[in-house]
Amino acid sequence: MSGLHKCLLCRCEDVTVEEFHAAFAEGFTEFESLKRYTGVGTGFCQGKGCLSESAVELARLRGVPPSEVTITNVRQPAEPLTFAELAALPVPPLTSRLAPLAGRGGRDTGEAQP
Amino acid sequence: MIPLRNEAVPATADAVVVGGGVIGLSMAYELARRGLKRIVVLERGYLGGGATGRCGGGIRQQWTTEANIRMAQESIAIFEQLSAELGYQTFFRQGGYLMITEKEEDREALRKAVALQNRCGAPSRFLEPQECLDIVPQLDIAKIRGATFCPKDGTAYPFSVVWGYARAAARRGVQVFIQTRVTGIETSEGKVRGVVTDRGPIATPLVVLAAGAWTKYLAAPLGIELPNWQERHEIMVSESVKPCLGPMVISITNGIYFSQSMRGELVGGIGDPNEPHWNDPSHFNTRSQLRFAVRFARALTELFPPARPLRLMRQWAGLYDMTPDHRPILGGVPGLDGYFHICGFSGHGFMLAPIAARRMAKHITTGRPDDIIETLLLSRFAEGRVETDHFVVG
Repeated sequence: MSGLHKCLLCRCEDVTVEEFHAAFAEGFTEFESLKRYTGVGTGFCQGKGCLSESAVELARLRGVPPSEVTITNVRQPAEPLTFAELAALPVPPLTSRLAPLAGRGGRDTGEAQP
Repeated sequence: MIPLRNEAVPATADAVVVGGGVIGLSMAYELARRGLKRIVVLERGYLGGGATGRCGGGIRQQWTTEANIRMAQESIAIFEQLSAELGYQTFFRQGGYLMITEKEEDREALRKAVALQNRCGAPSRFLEPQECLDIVPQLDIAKIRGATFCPKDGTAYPFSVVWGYARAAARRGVQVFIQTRVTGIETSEGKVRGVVTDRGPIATPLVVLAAGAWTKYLAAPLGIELPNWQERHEIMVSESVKPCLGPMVISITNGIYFSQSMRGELVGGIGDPNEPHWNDPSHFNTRSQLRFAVRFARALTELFPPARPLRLMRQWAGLYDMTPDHRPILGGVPGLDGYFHICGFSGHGFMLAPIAARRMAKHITTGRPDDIIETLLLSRFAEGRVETDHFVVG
């Protein structure tokens, strides 16, 4: 690779493929930690432009098919909203979805999958 | 390099710490620093994936009980040199904490709290509403009736602290296992004998439960009844802007708190009195709600109007491990050698971790009582030695 060559994985946060590989080599081998260590997927697009690419890259690093890589949790809101827009909305009640969720409900409690 | 393992666990260890958040990792690091060998940390997900990585990163010494103030002061003294000690950038920044109230009747309580904090040596002071503008000029002070400010309080990046402790612990020989679930703790004749995991059993004479919201349910099969309950608390991060906010701003009236991270984002949350108290881990749910986003946005834009055009980027939730007096539960229990817990931080585990872990490690390795741990034993609830701290916010 020439000195001028730079392959970006996450354009919002300016994370290169090389930096992603370096993080993996440091021991960050699952997606949730890679996101927080490199910043990949935490910028303005919230991962819409980089999570799939990062998953493929992580699969390559692990030597497994991409289907075996669990990607990071996608957070609300789907599109960034201003505080003024949000403040203008009525306050909704606590949703009944806070009742126990079957299956997928546990995933966001820190149970990263191998 | 953090050698995180996800292979088979060793058959034996001198100590097993359950939980790979800031409490478990600082615990393992401090035990190793005191010379304990062959320490294993077991984390069921990823490091900091529980409450640590979901918290606001605030660190303050403005409390209403002497024990909490003293612990926080000792913790801040450790945070002040933690990056150097761990050889890892924690992004600790002492921008202070501005604690405001909208209630006239709180003024006296704030003055009393400051007097107690000052007696303990914390440099906090009472502020009239107008004086808040010297600290945060953009505030709308229309509803503020009084405030306190302590310039030595601050924030750090929770994941950096976790990784720093993990790295420093690993350098001292601690083995950290991620994606490893503890399914049971084995005891016989009043002694801890081992820990059973989904990667195999580990024989050990010493176990420290540091699993946050899950600690109660790991202890229960041993006949140890922790009075803890769990609550979901939500938090959010905005897009990044230039540095514009020095301190953490926090309201003891509506429970909003927000600060600016070193990346420029506003990070903040707000407590919700309608959240249920959980007593069953199968009920735990850390999904996000529009309700939080709206309540936070309303409180934020009212108090800090320049935030109106800023965008909320993402929101998430974590679990507070609550206790009846909002103070942690430390130490062991009579009749079970080799068992210790360090839990129940009630939303303030991140800021208290360094000192709680340091004191616990000394207590565990020397067997000598510790003056602070003595006041935070599980037995205090049965004995009625309970002193509630009222400054639980968020």
